[in-house]
Amino acid sequence: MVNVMVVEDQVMPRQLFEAFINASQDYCLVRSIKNADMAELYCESDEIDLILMDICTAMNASGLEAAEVIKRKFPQIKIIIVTSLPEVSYLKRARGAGVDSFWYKEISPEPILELMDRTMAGESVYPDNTPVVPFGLTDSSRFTEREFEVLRELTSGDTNAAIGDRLGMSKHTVRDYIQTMLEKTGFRSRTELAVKARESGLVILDKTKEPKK
Amino acid sequence: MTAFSSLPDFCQTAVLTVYILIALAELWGILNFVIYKSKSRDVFLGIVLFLFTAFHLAVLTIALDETSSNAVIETIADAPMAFTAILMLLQIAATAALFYRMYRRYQTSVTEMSIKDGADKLPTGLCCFDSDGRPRLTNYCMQNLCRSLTGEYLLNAKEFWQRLENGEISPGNTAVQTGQEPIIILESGEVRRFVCREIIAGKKPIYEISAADITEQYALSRHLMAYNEELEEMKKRLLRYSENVTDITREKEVLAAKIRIHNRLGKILLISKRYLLDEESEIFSDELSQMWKSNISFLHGEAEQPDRDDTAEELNDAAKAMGISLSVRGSFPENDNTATSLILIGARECLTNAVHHAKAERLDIRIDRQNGKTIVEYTNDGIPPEKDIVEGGGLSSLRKKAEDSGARMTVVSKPQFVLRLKIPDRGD
Repeated sequence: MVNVMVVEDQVMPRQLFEAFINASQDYCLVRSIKNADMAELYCESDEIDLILMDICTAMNASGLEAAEVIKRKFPQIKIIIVTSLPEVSYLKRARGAGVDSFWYKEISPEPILELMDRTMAGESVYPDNTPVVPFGLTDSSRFTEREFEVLRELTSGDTNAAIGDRLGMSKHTVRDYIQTMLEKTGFRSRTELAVKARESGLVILDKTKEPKK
Repeated sequence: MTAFSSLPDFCQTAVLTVYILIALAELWGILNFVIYKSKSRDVFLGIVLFLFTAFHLAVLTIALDETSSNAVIETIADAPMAFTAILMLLQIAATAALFYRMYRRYQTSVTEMSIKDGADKLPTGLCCFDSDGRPRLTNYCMQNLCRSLTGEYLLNAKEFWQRLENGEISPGNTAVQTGQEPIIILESGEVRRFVCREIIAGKKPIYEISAADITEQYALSRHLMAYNEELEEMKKRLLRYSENVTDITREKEVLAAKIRIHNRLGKILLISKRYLLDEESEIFSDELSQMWKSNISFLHGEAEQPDRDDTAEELNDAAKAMGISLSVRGSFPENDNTATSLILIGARECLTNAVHHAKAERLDIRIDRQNGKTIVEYTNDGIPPEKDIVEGGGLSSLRKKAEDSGARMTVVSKPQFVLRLKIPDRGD
């Protein structure tokens, strides 16, 4: 029997995961919590084999950060990240943190139980790409990684110079990137670009710090 | 040919007048050479020229006296008028050359007067004074500024500077900044920044007050300040909006889950109908019953479990699971996820420390409110640390999070372990 912990702050999705696990004969739900920051403690006290970890959990605790710490301290515990946010950096960050599998709540084709089976069998299951999200006159597949980085920082409301400092580029380069994105999307201003980017979930600033290298 | 001595009286007077003017001009030129410290050669040439003109003037003047009988004087006075005229023109040309040299000297040399002239033309107010406050050089602009700001002439620069530093200026002017670099808006709307500095020159110290016109820069900086405030407000709104978007995304997830349950419910209804209508159905009643139970439990759960804040409860459960008795005095900050999150992470680190290092049985968390700050203190009843705690992964990560959100973290190792967090209220 595989001991599972669910880390999910919303009642409905959490209950769905609990129901799937309870309905299965191979899995046992040992803990179901809302806050990713607390997950590490239960890994100490309970014999957890598998964690279904949401990314945005209660009190804005990051599931990715928690997963990174847990994988470092308890490498035997398997972790599946479950999210509905199409933030482009999440896949890369999850891989960097050593997360075993990744599952998009809305669009992943296979059932979660099947993914749990494959993960427990030693497979690392990741979607090929992040979901393609419509964005202005274009969609998210038309953007480069560097453009996403600038876009993410843009949602902080900071100046080009401050964004440039953080990304290691000049303010003129930042301005050029923003201009290119405005042309691609057809948005009228940088504020509109930032608001729409955040609204679509393409970039989330406070939860997307790059893993330490 | 006509000679000077045979000219009519008025012509003789005119010639003598020209010579007098030439002599005076040469004399003035020599004086200027001396004032502007010209080369000795120029002074010498000037003197020679002047002596020659004076000699010629003297000869012609004496020649007018009919009683004189000097042969040399008579020879010169009786010389053809053309010779006298050529001589006079040569002397005028030499004097003009002298003046040209003097002009060049004036243009290229620095004297006290040229410094004063230059300083008066500056748009910046300038006053140099000694340690007693006695002005050594005050330009026109600074005199005007002093009169505008104090109503008096600048007679004691030290006193003037003290008044600027203290903002003691005439009504109508506004000191927007006092102290070491006073900035004053004058009644005319002009903005001046005053700076006083010591100049090392010679043995005695000299001080200089300068008053730069920063009207344009000041207006631009005000404009920039207003623009930055607007940007800051936009930034706050954008961040607040970002937080709301996270909530919206969560609501979308809930909606998606509800749709799934709805679809599942529809499916069960269809199966139930088929089961009720078809007596020979292969559907097992137990299976159907299980499906109903499962779906009802979702709906029931949703009604009974609103998304409440059970932070303290979750923390207590975690402590219990680790075999630690937890005591929380005070309450978690309301509507402040950042502070609550920091308190939880602090509790997590202290619980881990209490179990692994202190072998404690109890963890105390005290939450107080003081001067717009939440003060959190964590202590345990375990073994005190043997030496000062070196912050490792968990504590250093907590410190980074705390400092990023403007909080302060203190770790005390002796006589017992204490972790203290001072978390400011959120400014927005």
